[in-house]
Amino acid sequence: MPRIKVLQLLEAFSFKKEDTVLHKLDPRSKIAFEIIVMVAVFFLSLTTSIALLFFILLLHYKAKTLDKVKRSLYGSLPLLALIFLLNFLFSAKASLLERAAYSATMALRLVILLLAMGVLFLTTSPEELSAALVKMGISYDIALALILTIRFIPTLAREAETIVDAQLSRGLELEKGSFLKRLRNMLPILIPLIVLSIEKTDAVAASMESRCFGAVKKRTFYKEPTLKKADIAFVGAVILVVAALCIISALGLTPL
Amino acid sequence: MIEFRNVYFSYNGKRYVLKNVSLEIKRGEAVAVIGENGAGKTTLLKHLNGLLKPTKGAVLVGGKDTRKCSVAELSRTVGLIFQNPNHQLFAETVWDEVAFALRNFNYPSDVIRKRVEYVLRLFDLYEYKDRSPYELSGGERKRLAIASVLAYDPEVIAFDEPTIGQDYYQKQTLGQYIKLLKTQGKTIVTVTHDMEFVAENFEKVVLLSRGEVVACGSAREVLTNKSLLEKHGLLAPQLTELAYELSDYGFPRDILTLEEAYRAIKRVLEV
Repeated sequence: MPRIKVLQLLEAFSFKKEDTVLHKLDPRSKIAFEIIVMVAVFFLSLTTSIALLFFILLLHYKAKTLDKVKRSLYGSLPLLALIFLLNFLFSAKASLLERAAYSATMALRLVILLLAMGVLFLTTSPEELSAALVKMGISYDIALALILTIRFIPTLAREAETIVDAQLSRGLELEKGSFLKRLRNMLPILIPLIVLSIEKTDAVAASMESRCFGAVKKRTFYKEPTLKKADIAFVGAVILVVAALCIISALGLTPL
Repeated sequence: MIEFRNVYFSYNGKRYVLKNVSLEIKRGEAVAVIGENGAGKTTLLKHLNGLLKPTKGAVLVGGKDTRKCSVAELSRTVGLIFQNPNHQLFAETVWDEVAFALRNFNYPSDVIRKRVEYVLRLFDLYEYKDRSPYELSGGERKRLAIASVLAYDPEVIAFDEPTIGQDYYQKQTLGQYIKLLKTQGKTIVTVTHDMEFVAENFEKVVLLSRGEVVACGSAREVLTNKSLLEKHGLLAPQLTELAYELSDYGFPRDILTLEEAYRAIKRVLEV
């Protein structure tokens, strides 16, 4: 039965309130962490990538979010396998070992990015995130659009599941036929999904307007994010670890 | 026709949504599954055509184990009509929407033409046959969703909350279709909250609570047992409530339908 694995992958975006060090950090320091990791990941070798992976897993352990992260990793397995395979087949590296290491690094990059995103989204409530974004100078409209998008991904995934169930019940075959036929078979799923999304967007807009969205230009927040000592320590530690890994990688101190 | 044998089901491997459900639905029976929100009603329904397979136990449809059949195969026998028609309407025209399942099941084109025309007329939708399904009203969409399943003439028809969001007139119409299906000898399974709708249209009732079958019997037995219903978060049909209130005046308590209430009132007034 073709269950949509997307749902599991999206676990990385569902926030749950907890009382850990990471939950208490200013979202801005977590955003800084994100950006640092995102940039650094392109400069790391296989060994140093694995080291970074463990560092991020440690953060998830601290935030009590390992369980959720595990599930979303499981959901992304097919994608990871695909990345590995494509890189392995088309890489220009000479030796087999080098090829394998290179392809593994590529797949690891995705894992690291996914887990790093998880650190931000799993430990930050949407309200905190929007307050932080606004404080960073992003307009509230844009911050809200971003947060609503994240908020609605799991909802849409659930809708998609119901649609798949409804069409399977009417004899739709998703796994049979040529590539073109399979593509055509996606239409009975995509059309209701798109129509429902548009209707939902419309409803959200109407309900926001009826609650005076945009009535005042300058918006205040109940909880203003503030940078504390813990934030400085966290960002400092992240920079140190990542910089160290980048240097090790650049100097070629590791075998792969 | 359909048998649940000690069925357990879990989505995540931790918590069971269905617990030891055993049921038998005979050919030609009209069964309503009732229960509070989250009791596992829709989960039960999705077992009928193999969308979900039991974690433990077995579901037999026409003697076949659902774990060994594909959804497409089982759907020919069990037509499942989902709660929200917007989850399935996609075709360019009302006609194509109804023909969709028939084409999937490889019916010859002249049969498709006849069947589609028949159900569209039956459901009062023939005049819209060239319109887009999205131009229809809520009630019409609901009828179209039902029509698109009935078109391929499944032996068992399963409804998920058919009366939700429907006005009184649409509900009456739905009741008419159910009567028609009964005369054709179809087996009907409905999941619903609407006690009046159950009282008027169904003979057998299964009461589900937290994934377990807590009562299974005739509609009269289950729906007039007020304390049982209230214990599981449900209210008796309004006419039954009224009968309870009036029981001091010699009113029988086991009233279900308008027809029965009318006769009882007449009798009491004559005395």
